[in-house]
Amino acid sequence: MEELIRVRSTPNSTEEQDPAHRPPTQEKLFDDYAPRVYHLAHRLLGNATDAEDVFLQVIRKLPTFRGKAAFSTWLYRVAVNATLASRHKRALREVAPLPEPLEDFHEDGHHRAPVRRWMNRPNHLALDRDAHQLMEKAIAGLPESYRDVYVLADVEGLPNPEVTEMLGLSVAAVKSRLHRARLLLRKTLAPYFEEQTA
Amino acid sequence: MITCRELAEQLLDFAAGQLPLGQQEHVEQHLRSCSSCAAYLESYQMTIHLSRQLPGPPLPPNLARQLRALLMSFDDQTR
Repeated sequence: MEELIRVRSTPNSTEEQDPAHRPPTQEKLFDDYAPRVYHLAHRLLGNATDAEDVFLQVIRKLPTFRGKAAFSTWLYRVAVNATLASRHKRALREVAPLPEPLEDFHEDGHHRAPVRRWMNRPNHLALDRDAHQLMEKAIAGLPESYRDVYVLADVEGLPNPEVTEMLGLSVAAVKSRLHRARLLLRKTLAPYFEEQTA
Repeated sequence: MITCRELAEQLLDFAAGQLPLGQQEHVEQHLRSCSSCAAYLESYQMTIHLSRQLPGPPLPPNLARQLRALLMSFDDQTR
């Protein structure tokens, strides 16, 4: 199967000879990588129009891939940079104070109200379209700085060191934002998934 | 014994299995005696699990057409 683009320099290091450092086939790009770029931009920017602009910018950069990093790592970096640049251009910076997800505890450290178990098992929820829409809406409602980390780490499944590098944050900042994003999402989703009392 | 709030603060490291042994034991001890925290942990992990399952919005047809055209142009450039 034909590679999408030919790497212009001859591979000269062990890293560059690694198959992960080769460009993907057109089919793999069309079916797998391209949708991932679009999903990422759509979730981080929150609208289809800006996501399409970023998507096309990223695709146009494909011929600049030189095989110095794994293709997927390179692609995510380019996509995140283009997304952050697009957001910066629109000056959509947060001004509101960030919500405190641990406010549901008394001063003595106990829960303000009993926590109920969620009624559905994950495997069931994973097949449920309504649950997907609910999740997407909840993620879109996260504060921007939490959403960036959450989408990269928990939706895309990137390891924390990569998220740290892409967003220019410390490991502690990534962990703190990720944890707060998870707590906020859990809190938003709880009313829909909790077992109902009799 | 740690409080519910202290447990919630440590969930990220606990869920990743990265808590030091002593702290991990404190969390486990608390979970055995607090049904609210056990439910809280379960729903925290379920939130992560559900996020990993999200399929993402479909590529709009016009964008898919533009993508195909761009890929063909790259192909022409490298011939």
